[in-house]
Formats: sequence, structure tokens, C-alpha cells
Amino acid sequence: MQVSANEVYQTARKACLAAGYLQDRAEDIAVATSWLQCAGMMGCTVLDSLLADTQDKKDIQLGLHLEAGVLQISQCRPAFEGVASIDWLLAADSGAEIQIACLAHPVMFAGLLWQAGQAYQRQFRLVSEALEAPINIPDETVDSVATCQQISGKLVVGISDSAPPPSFVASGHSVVSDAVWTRLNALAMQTYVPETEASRLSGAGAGLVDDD
Amino acid sequence: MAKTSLHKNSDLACGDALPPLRSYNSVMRLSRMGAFFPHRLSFMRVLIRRLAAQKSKMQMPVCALDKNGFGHVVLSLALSGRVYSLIAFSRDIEDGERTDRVIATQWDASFCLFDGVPSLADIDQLAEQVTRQEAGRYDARILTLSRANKSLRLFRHVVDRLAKGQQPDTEALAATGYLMRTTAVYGNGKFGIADRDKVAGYDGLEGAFQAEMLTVFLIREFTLLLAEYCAKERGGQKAASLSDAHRRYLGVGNSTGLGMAPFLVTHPCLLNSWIMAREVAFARGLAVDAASNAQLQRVTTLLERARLHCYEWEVEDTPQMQNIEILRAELDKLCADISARPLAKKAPFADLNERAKEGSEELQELLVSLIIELVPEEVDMLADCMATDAQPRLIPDMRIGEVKALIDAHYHWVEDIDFNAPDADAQFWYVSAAKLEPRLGLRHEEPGAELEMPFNIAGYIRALKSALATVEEDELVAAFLLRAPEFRNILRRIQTIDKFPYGEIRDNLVGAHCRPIDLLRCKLSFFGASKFDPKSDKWTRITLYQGAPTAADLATAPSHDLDDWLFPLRPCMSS
Repeated sequence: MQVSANEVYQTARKACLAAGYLQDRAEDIAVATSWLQCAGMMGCTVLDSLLADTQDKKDIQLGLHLEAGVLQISQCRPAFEGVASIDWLLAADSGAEIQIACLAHPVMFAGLLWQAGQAYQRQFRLVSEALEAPINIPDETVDSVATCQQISGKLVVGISDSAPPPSFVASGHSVVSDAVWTRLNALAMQTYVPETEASRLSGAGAGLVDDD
Repeated sequence: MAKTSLHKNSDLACGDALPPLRSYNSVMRLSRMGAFFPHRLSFMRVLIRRLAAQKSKMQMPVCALDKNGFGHVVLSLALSGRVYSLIAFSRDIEDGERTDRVIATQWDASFCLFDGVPSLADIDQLAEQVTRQEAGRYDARILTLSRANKSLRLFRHVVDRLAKGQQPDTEALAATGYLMRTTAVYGNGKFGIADRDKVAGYDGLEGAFQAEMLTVFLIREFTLLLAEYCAKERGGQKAASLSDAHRRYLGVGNSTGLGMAPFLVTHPCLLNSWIMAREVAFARGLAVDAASNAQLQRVTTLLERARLHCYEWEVEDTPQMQNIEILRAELDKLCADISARPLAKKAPFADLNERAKEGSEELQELLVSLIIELVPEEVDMLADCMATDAQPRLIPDMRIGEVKALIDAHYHWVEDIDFNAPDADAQFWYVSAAKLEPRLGLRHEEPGAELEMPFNIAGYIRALKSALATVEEDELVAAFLLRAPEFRNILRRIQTIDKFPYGEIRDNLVGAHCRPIDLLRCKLSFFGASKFDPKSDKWTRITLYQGAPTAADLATAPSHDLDDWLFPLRPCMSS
């Protein structure tokens, strides 16, 4: 079905909240999801897969540590270690890097990097044994994000010395599969409070009939 | 489209250095926000100025109503070279089915704003969807979605009178002020309609809520047309049309609940832009060194009009009626004072403001609107600063010591809250599963608080302060968040508020004494709403476009004559 960018954002945000994500994480993942969706990279499907991964929402405590000025992450979940490590990298001195042993849902992580790069006017550089060449995010095209699907094994992320290229703006309506949309909406529904008679009568502060 | 936004460090925003402004610690209190009046930067005023400058002409390419006024109508209007059409569907619904709540499933009229002029096939297809509102599905050609219910009493009265060839009774008109009441105007991608990004790319609609304001303007035209149509069907050649004065006086009602309020909390950068534009405009008015005779005469005219307007403003809500009665007395006194003792030659508008300094917040905020009205050349360009792309953003390389200083600067009001008292978090904001209606619950009595919206800002600040007590001053925010990720959201908010200080409401939004109606009035005043008519502390009715030019006026009258409708008066008094 055809969905608007804001519908994707709002549905993704609520689905993330229902999955137990913190408010800020839910918002950041939703922004990345909407952007991926508008940029033609099936953001909703990526999110659906991420939210189905039960390991991804187990524990808000972050599995990472600093070692000799390098942030070491054994298992990088985009909404948890991913968000925290991007913040850390943006604050760190020149030359700092993150070393990730295993990256889950690399396209979502790339979406987060893209958003951070645009917001802070920085470009991230990703190096992995599985990649023929380093990936720069954001880049002139969104191909770099799609390439992230190839990442496996150890990944090193740093900040590039070069300025980011002009931003690629993704917006507008896009197509999402009915099954994915139904699952995300079912999750989003869990953020709503079931109605009681008391809430119906007093929760909105208005009566039930306006025939005046 | 990127917009110039006003924030604390933008010395050159909208052309000039920022003058000294009222403190955000004073302006952003709920009681004061709940006393705001519409003003010339209100979004309806901005739209009407633009339409008037362009002499926009409204057309009715389709009118397919039956003898009872049921069917559909298309009203099209050009703005900046692009045509927009209101498609209005009028339906017969049973008494007892009419509710202004979100949980409604039927309405007297339902609308969409269409990008262009719809074909008959478009109208057929949209009839199935638009009349079901939230249950329908739309595409990006639809810019807004809305619905309205008749004010049965006034609609019937107006049709009866017009059918007999008479004008409606002015008392009846003044008691309600509108023929229909909208109960929602949806935008920004809801149910598949166009995203805000698309609408903001259209010349003339780039400002805040301009598509929504255009929709409501056309709905007003539809209500006038419908009443006249029904009168003509009943009265035939004998039927009269509404006089120009009556047409201008009739606005569109709106019934508004809690759905308005969360927007102000979740859009701090945008809220800052609105409030700051108004504060800058007010400061520019106060800074006027000497006024022309015309400006001084205008003070007298507007004050008298405001005074009469307040005497026409009657509500059932006891707290609001008490405020209005105080305001009436204060305006009586102020008018008499100015008559006896003319304003100072130097800085006359600052003198005017000074004379109201000891008055109620309603009086003080009414004077903000009035003083802004006196200096259009100084303030109208600020409307361009009232939409912003800015979003809350973490500053990960800030030191914790600086965060502590920001908390002291912006959140000292939190210290006044007794967090041990049950009142401190007595309420919680939530979205009901019943048609997603926003509601407010009592935390210690009702279920659902675990799903509350994140509006306990004071509580989050308190928890963060406690967590930061033992953190080294020179630690980076990003390093702290590696250990305590749960504070990232409130840290981001604090850092954002430092740059956008009018974006934070400096009161406890979950406390027992929080009155959501104050948030509603603040937001609605920026739309341009008047005649606030609270039905509870969570719900209000208002009037939009009362006194505004009609579409017929736009096409014919000089544009400068169409920008003087602050504090509208009933027809007999204004004439």
C-alpha cells in the first residue's frame, strides 16, 4: 500500500515504543526508517525485521567498552549500541573509531549514520573485510547505504576528514507491503490505552452528544 | 523548504537584531499561555493578507446539492498561481449522532482540500472516503482532511430568516457566531494525505498551518453558501442573501480537545519560533519612540473595540467568565485613564503597556495583541520566521558541568514542585485505543499510566539532576550516556531548549493543577481563534475567521481594508 513519510515515521516510532525502546531511540529509529523508506530501501521491512529480532530489544544496558581510546562493541544493535556509539564518535577527538565485532541490521545502522551525518554535517567512514572498498555515509547517492547489507564480520567506523556532500533529500509517498504494515501497526496499537467507561466519559473532558 | 528560524543566538533573524524580550520564564507559564489572544501574526491573519494582496477569486465549479442541502460542492481558490479546491460533502445525520469528539463516526459535513480541481471521478471516489474521515484512505493529492457539525440552533434560525426574506437576529448570531463547528483538521500525511514537506514546497503554503487555515477559510464559505442555498430552496424568490456585515461576522466554530496540546510539547523548536516571533513583534511595538497621530487614534479605536468585544464575549465556564469580567472592568478603567491622561509622547506604547502592568494576565496579553497591531510595518515580516525545520538535537561533546548550568538556567521552576506529594504526578496523558482519542487520566486511580506520553518533564529533570550529582563536571555527555542511556532524551531536550528557550512550558504538565485548556488557548491563539469558550479544563469551543473578509471581499476590496479584524464586533455595534 501507499503510505506517507509521516505515517511511516509515526507508525515506526510507536512500534519501537511498543517494543520497549526508549523515547529517543524510538524517534531516531523512526526517522531512519522513514528516510530509508522514502529513499527506496524498504525502511519498513528493515524495521519489521529489526523488531522481530528478540535479541535486539532484550536489554537497554549497552554492551560496549572503551579500550585504549577505541569503543569496542561485541554485538551492535542499531537502537542501542548503534545510537550510543554514533553519539560517542561525534563527540570524540579526531581519529577516534568504533570497532564492531558483529553488526545486526546493518541497513538500519547505516540509516542512523546517514541521519547523524546530515544533522551534524559529518561523514562517516566504514571499513570491513567484507567490503571491497570503504563506504562513506552520507554520500552523493544512497547506494552506499544499500552496500552496507554486505557487511559481515568486524567493522570499523570512524569520521572522515572530508566534508559530507550535499544532502540527498528523501521524501514523499512510498509503497510498503500489506503484511509488514499490518505487523508494524499491530505493534503501534500496543501504545494505546484500552478504553474504559470512565475514560470514555471523563478522559477527553467533553460530553458525548453535541446537538446544540 | 528551509526557513529562517528565530532562536536565542540568531541576532539577524528576520532582518534586525533582537530587541530585549520578555523572559521565557514568565511568558511560558501555563496561566499566561492560557491568556493569549489572536494577533496579526496569527496564521489566519497571515493567510488573509496574502489572499487579499493577490485578490484571489473563489469559484464554485461543482454544486450538486438536493433541496435539503445534501450532496457535494467544490470551491476552488487560486493562491500564488496554484489552484486548491475544497470538496465538501453534506450529509443528513440523526440527532443524537452528532458529537464533536474524535470518537464520532458521522458528521453533517466532511471536507478535503484537493491539490488542483478534482474531476467528477475524483469526487465520486473521494465521497466514499472523505465521509468516513479517519476510516478512509487517501493519496498525496489530498492536502488536508476535515469535518464539521452544524450549530443546529443557529443554522435553522438563519435559514428560517433568510427564507422569509429577513436577516438573522443579531442576538442569535452573536450567541453562537458560526453556522458549523469543525471538529478536526488533519494534515501532514495522516491517513495517506500529503506530507507537510510537499505542502511546504508550495508557494503561499510554506508557513505554519497555512493549508489548514485555507481549508477552514473555504469551509466558512461553504457554510454561508449552504445556509443561503437551503433558504432559497425553501423561500424561493422571496429568500434573502446574508448581508455583507452578517457574512463577515459569521466565522467557523471549532471544538477542540486534548489533541492540540501534545503538539506543543513535542515540537519545542516550532513552539519557540511562534512565541519568539510574537515576543519580538511586541518588543518592536514597545520600542516605538514616538507615535503618529494616526497611530495614537488607532490605540483609542482598538482599545474601545477590544472593550466592546469583551462585553460580547459570554461563556458558561465559571473560571473563564470571572476572568472576562475582570478584564472588562480593567478595560473600562484603562480606556478612561487614557482618555483622561494621554499616552506619553516618548515611547507611547511602552507607556500603554506600563499602565496595564498591574492588571490581570488576560489584560496584559490582550495588550500584546493590540500593540503588535499598531506597528504592521515592523512585524509582518516576522510571519516568515514562524515555520522551522529545526529539530531537537543532542550535543554529545558538551561537558556535564555545562549541562548542570543549563538545568539551573531553564529548569529552576522544577525546584518548586514537591515530588513527594501525590499531586506532583496526579495526571497522565495518553492516547485511547478508541479511535486514538487523546485523553488525560488520573494516575493514582485509572489504569494505563504505563503507556503515558512522555510529558513528565519536571520528573525527568529531577531524575537527571540526581544522576548527575556525582558525575565529573568535565565528562562529555556522550561518555555519560554510554553508562546511562536512559537520560539521552531529556539531555537532548535541555540542550535544545537552551537554543530555543520559548520552546519549553515552565510548569508541571502532569501535576494535579495542570489545566490543558491553557495549552489549547495558546496554540489556538496562534491559529487566530477568538471567543474562547471552555467546556471543561480539557475542552474548548472557539470561533475562527469571525470578522474576517469573505471570499467576495478578497476579490473586490482594497487589500489594506481587509486586514483590520482583530476583536470582531457584532454587526450592529461595528456599524
